[in-house]
Amino acid sequence: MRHDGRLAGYAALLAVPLAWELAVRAGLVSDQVLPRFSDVAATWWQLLASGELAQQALSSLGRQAAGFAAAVVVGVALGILMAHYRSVDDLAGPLVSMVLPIPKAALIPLVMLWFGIGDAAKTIIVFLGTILPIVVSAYHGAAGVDQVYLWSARSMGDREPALLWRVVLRAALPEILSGVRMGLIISMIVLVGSEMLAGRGGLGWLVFYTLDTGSYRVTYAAMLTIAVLGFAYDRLFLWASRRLLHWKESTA
Amino acid sequence: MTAGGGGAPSLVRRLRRGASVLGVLLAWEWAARASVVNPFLLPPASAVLENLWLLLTAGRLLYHVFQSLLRVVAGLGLAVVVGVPLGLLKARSRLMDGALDPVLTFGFPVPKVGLIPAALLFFGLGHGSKIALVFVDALLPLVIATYHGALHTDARLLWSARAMGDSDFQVLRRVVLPAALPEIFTGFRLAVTVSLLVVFLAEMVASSSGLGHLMIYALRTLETRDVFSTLVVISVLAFAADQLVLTVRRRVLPWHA
Repeated sequence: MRHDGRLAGYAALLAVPLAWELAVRAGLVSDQVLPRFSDVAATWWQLLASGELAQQALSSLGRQAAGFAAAVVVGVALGILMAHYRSVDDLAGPLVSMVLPIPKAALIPLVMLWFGIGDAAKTIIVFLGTILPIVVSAYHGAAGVDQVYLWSARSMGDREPALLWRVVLRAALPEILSGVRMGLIISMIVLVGSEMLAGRGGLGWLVFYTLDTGSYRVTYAAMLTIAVLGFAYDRLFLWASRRLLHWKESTA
Repeated sequence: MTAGGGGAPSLVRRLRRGASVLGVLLAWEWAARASVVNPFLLPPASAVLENLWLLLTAGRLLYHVFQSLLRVVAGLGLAVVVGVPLGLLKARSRLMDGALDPVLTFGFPVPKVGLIPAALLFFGLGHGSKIALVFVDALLPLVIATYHGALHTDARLLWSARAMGDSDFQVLRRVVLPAALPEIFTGFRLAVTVSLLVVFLAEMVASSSGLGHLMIYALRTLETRDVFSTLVVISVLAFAADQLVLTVRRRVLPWHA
C-alpha cells in the first residue's frame, strides 16, 4: 500500500530531468534561462573528467571541513562546560543568547572586512555560522543528563574532567547530534554564500563566475554538484549518528 | 542560557550575567577608542549607534528594512499556505505520504542556496527571486513539522469527530490541524530563522535593495560604520521576529506552555 505512493514519488523524482529536457526542447522554458538537461549532464561529465569539478569541490569541502570540525569541538566543549559549571554559564550564556538569533549570513561581510576573502576567512565564517546551534544543543543535552548517572559515576570514583568525558558527553550525544546536523546544513549555506560573494575558487565561486560569463551549462552543472554533495553529507551524517547511537533504542 | 535549575535566578546571578554583556560592550568601546584595534575595522560601539540614528533619520534604512521584510513575509506566507496542507495530507493519506517521502528525503538536506543563480535567471534581480528562495527554504521545515504534528493526533479525537458526522475535510480542519498546531509553530519558528538567513544572503549576492544589499554595499564602499549599523538592525529584526513567533504561540496555544 505504502509502496505504491513511494513508487509514484520516486517516479516523480526521476521524471524531473525528463520534464526539464522536454520543457526546454518544446520551448516552454527559454534555453536562455534553463539549458537542456542533456547538455547540463554532458557538461557535468566533462567537468568531472577534466578534474575541474573535483578541484573546486575539494577547495569548498576543505574550508567547510576545517571550520565545521573546529565548531564541533569548541561548541560541544563550551556547551557542556556551560551546563556543568554555573560560572561558565554566567559568563558565556548571555553572550550566546545575544548572538544566537543573528542570521548567520550577516556575519559574512564582517568576516570579509576583518579577514579578507581567502581560505581562512571562509573557514572562519563556517566556524562562526555553525558553532552556536552546536553550543545550544550540547548545553541542553548536558543539562538534561540524568543526575543518577552522575551520582553513580562519582561514587565509582570518577572526577570532574573524566566525568564530563565519560558520562555527560555520551548521555548528551543524541541532542548534540541534532545540533550538529543543523550546523552541517548551515555550514553549506554560509560556505556557498560566501564563495558566491567573494570568489577564489570553490563551487559557489564556479556557479557565480559562470553565471556572469553566461556559461549557464556550467552554472547548472555546479549547482547540481552542490545539491549532490549536500545530500551525500547528510546521508553520511545520518549513517555516522546511527553508529554512534547504536545503544539508544529506536533512533528514528 | 536559562534552562536547568528551577526558579528565577538570584539578583546576584542576574547582575553577573548582565555584567558579561556589558563587559564586552565596554571592552569593544575602549579598544576602538584607544586604537588597540583599528577603529576603521571596528568602530566604537557608540559611533555605530550614532551612525544607526543617522541612517534611520537621514538615510533610507527604513526603505531597505521594508524591502527585506516584504520578501520574507511573502515567501513565508506562500510556504505556510502550501506547506501546512501538504503536511496534513501526507499524514492522512497513504498515497501522499509515499509520494512526498522521496521529495523530502532528497529535498531537505540539499543546500538551497545553490539555487540562487537559478532563481535569478528565472525571476530576475528584484523581489521575485528572493520570494522564491524564501519559499523553497521555508517550505520543507513546515511540511515536515505539520506532518509530525498531524501524525500524532489522538485517534480517539478522530473517532469522535467521525462519529459526530464530520467529513474528511472537516476532520482535517477541525481536529487534525488544531492538534498539529504546536508542532507547526516549531516548524514555523525554524522556517522564520531560515528565511531571514536566506533573504539576507540572496540580497547580498544579487540585489539593489534590502538590508543584505545595504550591508554588502557598505563593505564594498568601505563604510564600515554602516556595516556594523546594518548588522545591529538585522540582529534586532531577527530577535524581534523570533520573540513575535513565541508570543503568538503563547497566545494561540495557552494550553501548551
